[in-house]
Amino acid sequence: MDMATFRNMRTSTPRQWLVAVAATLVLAACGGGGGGSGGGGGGGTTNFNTAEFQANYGLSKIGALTAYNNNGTGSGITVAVVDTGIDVNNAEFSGAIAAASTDIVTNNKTFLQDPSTSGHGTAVAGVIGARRNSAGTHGVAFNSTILAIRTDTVGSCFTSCTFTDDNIAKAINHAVSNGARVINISLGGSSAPNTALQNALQNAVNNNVAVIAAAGNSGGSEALFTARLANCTGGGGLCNGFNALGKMIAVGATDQSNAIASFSNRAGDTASGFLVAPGVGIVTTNLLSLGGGTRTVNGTSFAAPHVAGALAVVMQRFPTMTTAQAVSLLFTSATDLGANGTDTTFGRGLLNLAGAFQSQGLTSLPTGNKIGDSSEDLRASALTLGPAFGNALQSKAFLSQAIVLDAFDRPFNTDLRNVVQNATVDPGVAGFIAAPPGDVRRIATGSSGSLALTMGPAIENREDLLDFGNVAPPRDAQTVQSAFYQGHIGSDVGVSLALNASSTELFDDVARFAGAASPFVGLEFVNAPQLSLVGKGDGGGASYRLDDRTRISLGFMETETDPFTDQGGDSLIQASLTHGLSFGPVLRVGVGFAQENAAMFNSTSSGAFGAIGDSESTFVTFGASVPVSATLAAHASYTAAQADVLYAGDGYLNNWSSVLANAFSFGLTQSDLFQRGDRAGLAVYQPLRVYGAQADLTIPVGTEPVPGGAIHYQSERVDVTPTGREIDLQLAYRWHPTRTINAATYGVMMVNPGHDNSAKPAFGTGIRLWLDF
Amino acid sequence: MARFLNLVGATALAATLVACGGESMSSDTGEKAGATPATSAAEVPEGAIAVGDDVYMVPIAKDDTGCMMYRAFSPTKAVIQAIHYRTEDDRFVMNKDEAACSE
Repeated sequence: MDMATFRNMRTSTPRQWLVAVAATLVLAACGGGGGGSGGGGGGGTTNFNTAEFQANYGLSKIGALTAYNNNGTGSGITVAVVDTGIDVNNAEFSGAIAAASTDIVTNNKTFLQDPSTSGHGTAVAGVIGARRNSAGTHGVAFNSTILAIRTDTVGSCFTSCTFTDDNIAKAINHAVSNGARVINISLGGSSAPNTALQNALQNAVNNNVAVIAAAGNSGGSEALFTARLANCTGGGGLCNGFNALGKMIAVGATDQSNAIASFSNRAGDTASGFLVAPGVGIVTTNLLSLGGGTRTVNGTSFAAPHVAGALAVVMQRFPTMTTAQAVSLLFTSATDLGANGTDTTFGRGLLNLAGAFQSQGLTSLPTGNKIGDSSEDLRASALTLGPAFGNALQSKAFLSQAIVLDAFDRPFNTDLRNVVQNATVDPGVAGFIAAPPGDVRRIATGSSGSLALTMGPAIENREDLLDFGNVAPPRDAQTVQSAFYQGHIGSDVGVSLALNASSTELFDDVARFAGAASPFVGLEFVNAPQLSLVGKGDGGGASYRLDDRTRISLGFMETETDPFTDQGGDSLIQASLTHGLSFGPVLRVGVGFAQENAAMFNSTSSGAFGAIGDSESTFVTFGASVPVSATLAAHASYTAAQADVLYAGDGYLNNWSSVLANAFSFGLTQSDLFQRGDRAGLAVYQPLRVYGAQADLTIPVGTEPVPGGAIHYQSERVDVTPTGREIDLQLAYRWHPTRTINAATYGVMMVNPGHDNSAKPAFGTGIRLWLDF
Repeated sequence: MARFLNLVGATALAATLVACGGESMSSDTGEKAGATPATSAAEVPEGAIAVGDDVYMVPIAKDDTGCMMYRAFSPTKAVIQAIHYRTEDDRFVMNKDEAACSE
């Protein structure tokens, strides 16, 4: 239970029975504050589930559709393909091939063409970035840029292409110096890399370029090199000091049923840096010289580019992530296969691009200037408005533009209106069904007064007390919940003292005049709304009879502050003057001064909203009770209130203006209507309602689309007032057929319940029987 | 005959080198068991078919349609990690449709 909820439960009254509903956030990726989504393709109403998409089952297997529907296409991201070149004139790569693409062995761009004896580089590049052009199939990142770097040894592809470490090293360095964000290496060797290649790999990751490498097709328990270095952290042995810095992924192959391919090397000791992706029966781009169109291929060579393409997509779509975060995201969001958690077959699991588009980990609301600065856990950020505010802020569409950051510093849209909790409508049921004090023991203290002790249940956790060395009372002993002393000094002065009493008990005269003694349910909190601002506490009061028709009273109470939660610590001072006119009417003027700790009109906030500061409020009530006949009386009451928060605050909601509110009621009560001693009543009233309040609302709406980028905030001066005015009509009836039997019933109709002009009328009714002994 | 000589030569070379790729061990400490890098090379697997200069095709297993799969292998160089199939004229191709899968 959060503190806000705790607080409202502690001060619950019939009109303030808040139900704290956990905010359900509908998160949607929001693209890094307007700079990150890049252009081309994606989003809107485009249908991405085309025949071209379906041609390669790998795309659906990794959840690419989710990425496309959220504008993730790899646009603007360069993926280097260290391989056998590329089919340069193939329409699938039209506009996709980076200008820096070359044959790194001969350093001659004219030899970039993938030889007809291979087509491997073309097939790999096709899985990454073949264009979405209604032909063949398309790549995972169909808007990415392919930096094709032909690396095979001259002449080797006449049989089976081979690659030297020195040439692979050159290719990697070329990729790094030409803007690649991802390097795909669908090559593998049995030997650990030579110094040049190890240095090139280190250069890549040091420059935040991710390296994706095929695990190999030996069907063995360990990945080939270079993939096997994916989780090296600078140690010895095979790592030989190499540190992948969390920016490498080794990739094994799975088939359509997510089983590990029989030929695929397993994760082995690279498990923590290992993913699997589709690598069996992959449909990809074919060389024009071999007939063009598509071809079906197998191998970890084609699993790796699924991961490389996916990495390009998340890098494009979530530009606030670092390279290491993007790699970690793919690990974190992978679908676990095989043994629970990371295992030596599937490593971290199956690539899951759809999962990568979901927010990961705890979401937080930023409160600092930059990504990575201070933030507040979304779950701990709440704004709970008291009933007087009705549905205030719910109509502020502005709040729907907020962002939260997930564990990977990615901004996601969220509607903060779901975090604003408004009081729920309670047609009096809570107060009506609340059990009266069950065991009140009245002790006469001489002729001048009496002491009432309200007894509670027996100690529930007696053993706990014993554990702490306390002397626990007997097992069946009751506790004293509250004590209330009423007495008088002479005939003109009344005094009262209370411990742990409610405001309606302590300010009994106020409550009774306000309606507690009437047949109505909860009317005292309409006519004396300040009584609802404080919970149980200690206090006292005195009254003085000026003459036969005039009495003044003054009282105070204070609630205890919980040292652990800092809740409580509220106080109320109440003064009133009652005067009965000679011809019958009774007039009353009351003034209440309430102080709330970190609350205002029972509203609280926490987390990113900041704590509402301590507040002071003043209530002035004018009331009249006019006898119309011996059994019929008319009543009226009007309360004006003003609250001020004592300091500006430092959260999203701050700098409150004075808050103005009012409440009123009119009613008739009839005694002896059906039976002697019964009472019936009809009342029309408006519960306390804020009609004037403003505050500054500042929310995060975007980020600069770079890692550690600036947080963009938007501020508005907003009215914190409800959209409607609740008017209630209550019929109530009480009956005491015998001394011990009591009956009460009521019915209420609420128009604009919760001060919400869009709410349908609410109705409530109840009947209660109880016995007095 | 040349292919045979290649195989013999490669095998002899491999025998003089230290094999790498030790047993599975956790590497989250940043270390992996195995030989010192840069000097190690693997032995040519049994049944490997020499197809070029220090390059072999190694039969893996038959796939679910009974077609033998091969992987490229070189003890000293990196090779592409695609599955190959053997054609009737003893070429190795990535395209299964060209393969002689009845053998």
